Formats: sequence, C-alpha cells, structure tokens
Amino acid sequence: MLFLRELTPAEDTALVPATPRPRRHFTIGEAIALFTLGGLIVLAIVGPLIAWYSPIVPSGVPFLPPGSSGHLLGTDNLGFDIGTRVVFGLRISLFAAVTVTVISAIAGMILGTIAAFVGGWLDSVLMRVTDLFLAFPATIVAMAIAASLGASLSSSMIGIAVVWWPMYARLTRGEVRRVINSPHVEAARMSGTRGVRLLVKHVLPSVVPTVLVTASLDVGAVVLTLASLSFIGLGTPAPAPELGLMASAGMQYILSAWWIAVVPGVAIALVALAFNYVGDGLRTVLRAKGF
Amino acid sequence: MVRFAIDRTVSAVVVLFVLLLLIFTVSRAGGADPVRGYLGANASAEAVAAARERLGLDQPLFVQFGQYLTGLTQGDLGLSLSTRRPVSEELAQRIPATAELALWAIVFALILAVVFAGAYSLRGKVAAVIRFVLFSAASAPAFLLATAGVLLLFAQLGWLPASGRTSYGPSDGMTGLYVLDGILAGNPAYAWDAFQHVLLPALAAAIGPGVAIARVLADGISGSLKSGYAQTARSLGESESTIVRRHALRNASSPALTLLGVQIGMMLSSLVVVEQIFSWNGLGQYLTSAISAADLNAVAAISLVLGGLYILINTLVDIVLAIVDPRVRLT
Amino acid sequence: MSVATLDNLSIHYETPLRTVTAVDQVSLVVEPGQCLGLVGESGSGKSTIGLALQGLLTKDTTARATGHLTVGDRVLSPTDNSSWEGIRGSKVTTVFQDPMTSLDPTMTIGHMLGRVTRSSQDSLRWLEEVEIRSPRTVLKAYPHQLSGGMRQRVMIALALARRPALLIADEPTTALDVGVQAQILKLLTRERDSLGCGVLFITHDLGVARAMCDDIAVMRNGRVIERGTSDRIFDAPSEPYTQRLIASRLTLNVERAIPLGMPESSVIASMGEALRERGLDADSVTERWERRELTWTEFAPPTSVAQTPALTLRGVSKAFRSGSMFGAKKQVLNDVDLIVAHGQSVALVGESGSGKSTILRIAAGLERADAGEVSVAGSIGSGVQVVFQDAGISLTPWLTVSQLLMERLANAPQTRHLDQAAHTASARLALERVALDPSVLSARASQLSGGQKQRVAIARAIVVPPTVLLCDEPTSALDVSVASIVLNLLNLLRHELGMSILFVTHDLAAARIIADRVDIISNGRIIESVPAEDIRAVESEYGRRLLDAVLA
Repeated sequence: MLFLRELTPAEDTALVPATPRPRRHFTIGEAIALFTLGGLIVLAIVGPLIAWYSPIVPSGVPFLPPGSSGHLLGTDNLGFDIGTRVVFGLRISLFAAVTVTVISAIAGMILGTIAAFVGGWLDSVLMRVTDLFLAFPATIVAMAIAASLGASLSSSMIGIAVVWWPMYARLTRGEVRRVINSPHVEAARMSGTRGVRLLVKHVLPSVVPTVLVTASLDVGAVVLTLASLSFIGLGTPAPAPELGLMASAGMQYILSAWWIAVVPGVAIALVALAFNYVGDGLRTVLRAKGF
Repeated sequence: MVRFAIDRTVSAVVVLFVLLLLIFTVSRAGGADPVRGYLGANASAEAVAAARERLGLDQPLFVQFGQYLTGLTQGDLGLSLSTRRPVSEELAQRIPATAELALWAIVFALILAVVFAGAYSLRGKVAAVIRFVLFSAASAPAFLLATAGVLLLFAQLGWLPASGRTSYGPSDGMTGLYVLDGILAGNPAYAWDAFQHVLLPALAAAIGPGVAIARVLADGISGSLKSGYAQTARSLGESESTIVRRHALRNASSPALTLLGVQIGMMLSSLVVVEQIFSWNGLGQYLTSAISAADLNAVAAISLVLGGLYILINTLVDIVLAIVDPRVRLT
Repeated sequence: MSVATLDNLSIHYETPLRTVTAVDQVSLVVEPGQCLGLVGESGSGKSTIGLALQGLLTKDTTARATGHLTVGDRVLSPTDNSSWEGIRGSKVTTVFQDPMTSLDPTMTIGHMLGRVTRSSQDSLRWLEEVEIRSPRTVLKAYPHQLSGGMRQRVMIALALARRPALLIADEPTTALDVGVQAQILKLLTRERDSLGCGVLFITHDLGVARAMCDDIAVMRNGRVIERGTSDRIFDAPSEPYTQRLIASRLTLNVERAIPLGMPESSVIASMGEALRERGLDADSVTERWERRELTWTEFAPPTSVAQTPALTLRGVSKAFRSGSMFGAKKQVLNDVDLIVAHGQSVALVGESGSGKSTILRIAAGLERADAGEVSVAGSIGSGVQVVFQDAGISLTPWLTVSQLLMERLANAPQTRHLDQAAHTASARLALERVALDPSVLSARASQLSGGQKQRVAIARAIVVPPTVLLCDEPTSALDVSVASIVLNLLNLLRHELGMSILFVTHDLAAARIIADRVDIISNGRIIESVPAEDIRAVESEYGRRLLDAVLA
C-alpha cells in the first residue's frame, strides 16, 4: 500500500535542502489520471441508475469468465454480475473514502489552526493528544476500533476517521506556525491586521493548498485501508457489494476463477492510483508555484 | 542514552495504556457482543447471562479494565473466546510467525527502496515506464499484489509455494523464525524452503513502502547532489559516483528512514491481510478470526502486541537516524 | 607561465525557450601569486566564469561554450568533463560562499580533510595552518558544531591542502560577520603568498576587492568592461558603469549631507515632487546633484524638529530559550536604554547575534521584552513601521501591491475613516515617493525585482507616515547600485516626512549615511554611542574592529 503523505514540514526541510521541481503544470500521465478519476466518479454516480442487473440478485450462470456475452466482467460463484457489483462497490468506496477524508481533514484543520493560533496550554494539550495518536500504528487501531464497534461500513469509517484526523491537525499546526512566523505575516501585523483577518488573508491561503493536496493523496490511502478492513471482514457483511469483501470472497476460487477476486481488486487499485497520481501532480505544481 | 531508553519506555507504556483504554471503551459502547460469539447465536438468554457473569462481563467497565490490567501484569491476557484457550498461549504460538514475516517485509522494503530509487533517478522513456509500473503496483492493495503473485509465481510458473510457512514440519529451533532456525540448525534445505514460503507474502507487503521510500530517497539524493557540500566535493575532484556514495546517500537516508517508521505502521495492516491469503498462522490471521467471532480479548491483545512492535521499530529507527545524522540527538 | 588563461570565452545557456548569454567573449589571465578580482553585480556572469574555471559547468547540460580556456599547460573544454581529470581538485580548487552549506553535515572535519590529505598528521597541520585553535578537537567535530568563520577556515584548508596552482574564491566572506571577514581575507592573502598560487577572487563587494586584489576586472552583462590594477580602477575608472559603481560604494569618506552616488532618474522624480510640493525650484535637481550642491536639508519642512523622544527603550532585557523546552536560556539583551528623538535617525550597529534585531523587534511590538519599558510617542503599533531585511518574503505572495497598501490604509487610525478614492490617492502618492510607477499597483511580489520589492515594502511602511521607521538591514540583500537608491530614498523620506529612523545594520558605512547617531551593540549591550560625523572616533575595541572591517 502506497502512502504518499509528506513528513511534517519541519522535519522535512531540516534534513535535506528542498529542491522544488520547476514543473508548473500536470504531465500527460497526471492529466490522464485526472480524466480517469473523473470517469470513475461519474461511473460511481450514474452507474447504478443505468445498471441492468441487481448487485444482490444472481443474474446469470456462476463462474462466467470476463468477456462473456451479457456479463462483460464475468459472474462470480453465485452468478452475480461482477461488473454491476464493482460499479456499486465503487460508489460505496468513493463515498466512504471521500467522507472520511473530508471529515478528518476539516476536523484536523480546525483543531490544528486553533492550536497554532491560540498557542499556550490549549496548544500543548491538543498536540499531546495528536502525539498519542501518531504513536499508534494507525490502521491497526482503526481495525481494533472497527472490530470493537461491530463489523459494518460505518464502524470502519469511524475507526479510520479516529486515527486519521491527528495527522491533519499536526500538518495544519506545523504549516500555520511556519507561515505565522514568516516575514510577510509579521509585516501584515505591523500594518495593523490582526486576529481572524490576519489568519484568513495572510496565513490560510498558503496552508489550505497543502492540506488539500495531502487530502487528495490520502483519499487513495483511505480507499485502500477501507478495502483492507472490508477484506478481513470488518465491512458490511455479504452480499453487500463492497470491493474488499468481494475480493476476499473470491480468494477461495482464485485458482479456478481468478476474476472473481482480481476484478474488484483492480477497481480499487485504479481508484487509488488515480488519486495518488492527481494528488502527486497537484503537490508538484503547488510547490513550483511557491506554496 | 539511559535517559532516552527510560523516556521511550515510559511513553510506550503510556501509549499502550491509552490504546487499551480506547479499545475497552469503544468495545463497551459498540455493538459487538462477545458472548453471542462465544456461545453461538442460538444460546438461551439464561445461558448468555450466566456466561456474562462467569466471564466478568457484567461488572462495570472500570472494574473489568482493572481486572484486565492486573491480569496483564501477570502475563494473563484473558480467555480467547473464539479458541477457548488463554490469549497469551495463542499469542506465544503466533508472534514468531508474524515477526518473521514483518522482518522480511522490512528487509525487502529497504532493498526495493534502494533499487527503485535508482529507477526514480534515471531519465528517459524506459525509466518513465518503469516508474509508472512501480507507482501502479504501489497503489494496488496488498491483497491484489498477493493474488497476482499467487496466480503468476505459484499457479502459472510453479516457482514459489503459496500457503503456509514451510513444506516440512514446524521448526523446533529456538527463535521460531524458520529461516533463521534452519540456518542455525545447519539445515540449509529447511531454511531455503522457509525463505521460499516467506518470499511472496513479504514482497506483497513490501512493494508499497518500498516505492514510497524510494521516492523520498531519490528526491533526497537529487537534492543532495545540488547541495553546497556536493559542489565542494566536486571542486575537490571527487567523481560523481563517489559523491553519491559518500555524501548523497547518507544525507538522503535520514528522511527515508523517518518515512520508514511511518510506512511500517501501514505495512502491519497489509500483513494482516496477507497472512489471511497465505494461510500464514500469525497474529493477522488470528485477528481476522477474532474479529468475526467478536473475540475482544484477542483483538485487544493483538492490538497491544502490534502497537508495541510498532513503537519498538520506530525507536530503533530513531536510534539509526541519530547514528546516520550527527545533528539528530536522541530525546 | 600563467596559471590560467581565458581566451575569447563565451558561454550560453540554451533552454527550450531561449538562449541566455552568460559570458560574452571574455579574455583574462591569472599569473602565479597574483590575485585577480572579478567584480560585478548579480547576473554579470562572474559566477559562471568561476564555474567554468572549476570544470563544474560540465554538469549543466544546457551550457554551450566557445573560445579557449587553459589551466597551466592544459587546454580545457568548459563543457567536457573528461578533460578536467587531474585538474579539478588538484590544480584548481575553490572556496565557496556559504560555509553553512558547503560542508557535508554528516562527516567529521577530520574525515573530510583526511580524504584530501591522506594522513591525519597533515590534516592537523593544515588546521593549524588556517589558524584554528584546538585543531585536535576540531578534527573530531561535525560542521554544525563550528561557527561560520571556523567552517570557512576548514573550507580554505580543504581547498589549499592539494596545493593548487589556482584558487577560486567565490564570495568567500559574503556570508560572514564583518569582524570575521577581515581575518579570513588576511588568511587568504597570507596563504597565497606562502603557496604562490594564483587567486581568482569573485565578489560583488568593491571594498573587499580593493583590499584583496592586485588587479580587478569589472564585469557587466557577461562582458569584462574594464580591467586594470586595483588602484587604477579605483582612482581613475574610465567606464561610466565603473564610475557609478565606485560612486555608489559606501565608504567612511562619502559626504553625508548630500545624495549618495550619481544622479538617479527615479530618485530625482521623487525629489522634484517633494520640492514642488513645498513650492521650491525643482528644475535643476539633476544638475545640482551632479555639482554636489543638493543637500538633504532642502527637503526638510521649515519647522524645526522638536528634541522630544519619539521612541524610548528603558532597561530592556530579553532572553531566549535555546533548543528544547528545558534548555538553558540565552540572554540576548541586557538592560538596554535607547532613545530616538523626533526626526532623529539612529543606527544600531553590531554583528549577528549581538541583539540588534531583537531590539528592533521589541520596538516594533513583534517581540515582548522580559523586563523594561518601551514607549513610542503615541502608542506602540500605530506609531512604528518596519522595513524588513528581505523584502521578497515580507510581501504576502498572493496579494497585489494595491491590496497591501489598501490594507494598511484601512487599518491605520489616521486613514481608516477616509473613502476609497482617498485611499487610492494615498497609495499612488506613496508609490511616487519611493519612485515606483502606479502600474505596479496590480503586480504581485513575484513579478517585481529585488529593488522594486524593497521599495514596495517601504511604500507600505510610509503610506501612513509613522513616527518611527524601523529598518532591519534593508539594503544588505541588494546590489550596490540598488542599495544606494534605497538609501537615498530613505534619506529623502526621512527629511520630507519628518520621520525618526532606527536603522539596524552590520555596516558602519551604511549606518553613517543614514544616521545622526550610531550606537554600537555587542552581546546584548549598547557599549558606545557616537555622532555619525565622528564615526572614526569610536573608542571601544569592538567598535574599532567594526571600523577596520569597512576596509577601503
């Protein structure tokens, strides 16, 4: 599983001189990834409306390989249409991953900004808490929480959100503190701008893009984590069309009907790859533009 | 150094304590019922109530927590409801399996990182294609990589085994790490067989972290090569390859190592999935079965062990960092 | 035989978009034992020549070269790496500008030197040679454990240990404190004499070049426009550009009462405007400047300045925690008293770490004093404004100049109640005062040059005229000619607006131009206070050292 997030900026720059690449726009590969991502999102939204099979009712002969007439991506051991289930699964994956990322990013950003801006004991307390969370292996804790809550998609989402927000709080706090001590903010303070206006006009415009880029990279990681949780039985139970669950159920037929496990796995990989590529491109472009 | 060790131990204890507390609180608030899992869905209400009492589950949460902690200090982790054996016994049996898998995965991740960093430093079309393949592979979930490995190297080519830790019986060596046991026992065939078994699952977990670290390493090396000290070395007549070896690699390894610490956390979750696929009788497989049985004693204990492992590995990474970079001090 | 020869050398950088000529048909000769100064402003091509002579341009795939380059008896190609074998690192070595980044942070000094000398005995001897005290300790130290001056000595030891025929010194003292600069230059001269190697000394600092070099070549836009002996260049420069450079150079002999350097059209426009406003004759400004008849007092309002305090610091102390939460505190300021009167200009001069910037930050309200009182006529925050050292990063990158100026106008109590049109008019006036075109209003910082950014920063500080303008080394990041414009503008504004100025700098010459009084600060205490016109009369040992450092 690829985890692309940056280290906190202070650690990063202290050890290696930053080398901003001069590229200011997306490469062709990143543009393709952006289109793929758009396509997948459209498919996830529109797909279920136009699908002619049900994801939870058998629609054909079991074990049809991909390319069979009427079942482009084949059928599984129970005769479900895999293509239909993957489209529904995509919808669930994307929705869950984006929700988890957005909620943790917003929560982390608000708390991190407050910690950095207010400082003092509030900062200490908040940072102690995030330190504690960051000392855990995040996904293992997510698994433990989800297991304790009882297996379901929402348990997994809660489990992941609980371990994910502290990373944003850290990132945001670091960025806000870095920017707030930079000469341009001191100059703005000298020019009489204070409080929330200072934050909104002179600090956040350079913090938000960083958080956005990290979030776009994280969606890929969250998709993968959700799929892993679902794979080990922490998602909604069968016959729900969850991609991780489908892959795990297909594992027992892997030698006779590989596509049952592989097709949902490839769908997950595609989503994660698209997010990773787009997020990586965004990061490079923003870095080149001086954020 | 002594102070560093004490600090780290204290903070590890605090972290693990909080982790336990979190799991306990959440499990009580959550919907999973361990007794139903223990007795089966058809058990009568009386039987359930009796079992609850016997297992101490009717006590207030803090009493349960206190009892658990008391047990913990005596090495008693409670009863595993899914296997009906003490959790500590189950763990003792499985920890070496996961440790072996994790160690190999880390070793492979580091090797892959150095090799892939080369690919990331090259220019030209072929290198771009290689980078794309690496990036794609690294974006795939570990279970897909594992599946692909099984299909290709086991089913198609028949080069590698796809399940279990060995084709022979379990090792009776002292470490419980089969490859090492085989070497220590002077039995290369056993070690080689164990290595073949660990290769696929460890690689499946190592590719993602390997690529992520490779990217940071390559970035760090290219940054180092543009640095003032690289220029100094050039002006003193050092060759480019010497500069990479003597200066760039070492300077770039600090951020790469820091990232390794983070990546290992992600790798642990991949291991849980991978163990499932390769019938690797370790903590991951135990966790999966414990989850489906709502065996919370087991879940808590496994989280503790994996959490402790994570903290231990990160402490080791910090020590290595301080050795590599003289500006870093252990605090 | 000469050590190195450049014959008609041209170097272009070919990028997909355009070709840039960095060096244009340059011919130079360095003789053994000679120090040749290569002087020019940023972008003049002097650094490219330095890189070419070390064979380091071979790394740059966009570089193309024509002409000839010889080191000793070897004819070399600046772009072909193979020809440099046995030259780079043995016949030619380099001392770089920034000792902070030019030593590998993960290697001990002994390890680095050992790779050059091959024996720890020799390493030790070389450290002694460059006058490092306790060389045995330094051998085991890592770069971050040494001061900037020490690192530069190590750098020199590394470069000299190979006994090169040609030593390239690329701005070797620019990043160092003034006191250390002089020692390093002395060391370089001594080593050149004892080794007999030729030195190519690249610098933007004419004073340093004069102190160090036998011959000087002045570069501009990739060409050598004038060369001659050091004395000839300084006493009788023939090219107008050289004349300008020398005229705008700051020494302790420059006349203080009149504008610095030669007439500068942009400053003249602002001057004319200021005089016209007062109903005075503005037509002959250029001529009178040239004839050195134009004095700053003409721009002052007729009312005499009251000698009441504008800025008062009394018993100010400040300590910073070093490193971690529980680290020892370092006393940065120790019971400092400082008074700047209305209309007075005071310079605070000291080396880095002396506490001078901390005083400025406390006066600005950006930092709070641990003890003592700070008062500004009026109240803190509204009565003071700051011009920071690096204007480039003191302007919020995503806001336009107009937004920055308007923000200040909307915040200041004096202008808050005025309408949009009045604000726009004030913003334009402020830009005029710093000699910038109103078209700059819609620009962002990234679209401006270094000098323009610093002038925008000044405009922002004076768009609502403050009682005291605090300047934190506002010219140290600028080229000489740009720096003189900024200093002239500051002097003009000060007289025109009747502001007080607190000018923080490490450079006594610049301090003398701007200030009426110079306070010398060392280790967090003001140790001496002298009138600017009698700057040579400093008595403290530290003050004398600073004075010696202004070399020419």
